[in-house]
Amino acid sequence: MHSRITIPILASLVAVAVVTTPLSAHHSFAAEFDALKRVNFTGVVTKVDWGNPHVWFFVDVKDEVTGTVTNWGAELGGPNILIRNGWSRHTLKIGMVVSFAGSLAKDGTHRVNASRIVVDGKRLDAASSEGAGR
Amino acid sequence: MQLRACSIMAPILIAAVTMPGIAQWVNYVPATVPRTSDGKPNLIAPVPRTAAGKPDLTGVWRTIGSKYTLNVAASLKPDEIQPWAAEASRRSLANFNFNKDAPRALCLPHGPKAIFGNLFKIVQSPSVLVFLHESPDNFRQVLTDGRKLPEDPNPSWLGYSVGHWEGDTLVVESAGFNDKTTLDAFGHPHTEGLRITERFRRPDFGHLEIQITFDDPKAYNRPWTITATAQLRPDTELLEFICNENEQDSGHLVGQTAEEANVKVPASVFAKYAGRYEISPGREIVVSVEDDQLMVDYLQGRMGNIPLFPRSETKFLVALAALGPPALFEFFTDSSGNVKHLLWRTREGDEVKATRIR
Repeated sequence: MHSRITIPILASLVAVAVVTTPLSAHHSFAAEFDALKRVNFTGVVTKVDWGNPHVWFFVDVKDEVTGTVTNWGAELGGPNILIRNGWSRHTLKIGMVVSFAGSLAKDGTHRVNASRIVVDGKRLDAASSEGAGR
Repeated sequence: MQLRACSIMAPILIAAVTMPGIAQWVNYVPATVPRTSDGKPNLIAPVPRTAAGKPDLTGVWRTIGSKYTLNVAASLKPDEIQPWAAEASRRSLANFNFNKDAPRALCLPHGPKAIFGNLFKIVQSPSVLVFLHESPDNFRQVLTDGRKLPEDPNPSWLGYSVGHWEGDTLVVESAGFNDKTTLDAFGHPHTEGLRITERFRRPDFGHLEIQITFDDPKAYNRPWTITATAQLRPDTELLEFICNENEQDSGHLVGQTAEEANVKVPASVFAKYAGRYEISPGREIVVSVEDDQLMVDYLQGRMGNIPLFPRSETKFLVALAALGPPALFEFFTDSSGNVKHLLWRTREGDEVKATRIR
């Protein structure tokens, strides 16, 4: 369970949600991911596929209990929406440590739809599963 | 492996959201745009006009959310929607979140709802207005050279459009749509017989008022008109969107699982949740029941009531694919069975508590 956020933060979140709600999901989120199966990861970026309709990045995540390293794919929104939110194709780089939350893929593959992305101590709007345009 | 959510602060989020992209056209500030003393575009400056004296609708626009944005039939009575069309919408709503065959998932266009939500650019000349839609990348031509709509045209995704001026209002008539898309995110269908009349008015520099009349007698018992307002986005520019360049989802679309399909929550439970929930003074989430469907308004009326779909007796998702990652609403009950508060997990994964006030 994530920690609760406080009301001053909420105002900005709601504002962002309202300003940026697009109507252009490329695919149905729930056809691919289960919003109730949430995971939190910190890992090292191994690949970034920067393109439409969704940017994907891949991270090596180490299980702290078993020591096993698993490569996970994480879906973001499209490049256009990310660029308008302050990202560029250089924001995520191979070797960088990234923390994020995500909803697991239903088909059992190592894929998530990512949110709450923290890079270099900064949180970035993931624009997850949204279409590129806005 | 745990994300330290407590380290996340609003100023960081805002900084990320408003960080300027260096030398990006999406943040270019054109010198030709009238501005207020604080440098922002003056959206209520006088409307620009063409050499012929007509309003010039040229610009990058985006429609503002309203109760019609997701549901263009919001003002229709149930008996004005033909049974097959009502059933198609019901089925679509029940499955929309899981639909792996939606045109958009196949990188196909939105159809007549293209104008809602995403950026579009109008380029106006005396004989044609071109609508450029960023995502998906579609164009629409509105011919204003006096020609009539084609008879029996090859059906197309965005139809065929002709326009004429009535005073300062551009009247656009469209026909020749295919029937592969819906009119809205609620899944209201249309047939190839659909005709749309739009009346565009630019009352000032920054706003476009659009009246849209839908006429589809094989699906709806009367024509009806909705209104939409688009706001100018003078300090950005359209970007390229080629849907298939990095498509990595289509092989992984599972659709609705048996577990999801088997969640049945009696309508009596919905009634228990209906009410008003306060996030902070003046900021509320309103939960209601319409036709045995639990609905939520969590955007202060800006998008109307949005259907909620049960994932358990206490957890519900906003399941409109058009809204992206689903917001989750979880209801909490005290020991005497009264619903006391809800938790809203936003699509960005943050949790917001709202306390029941009514």
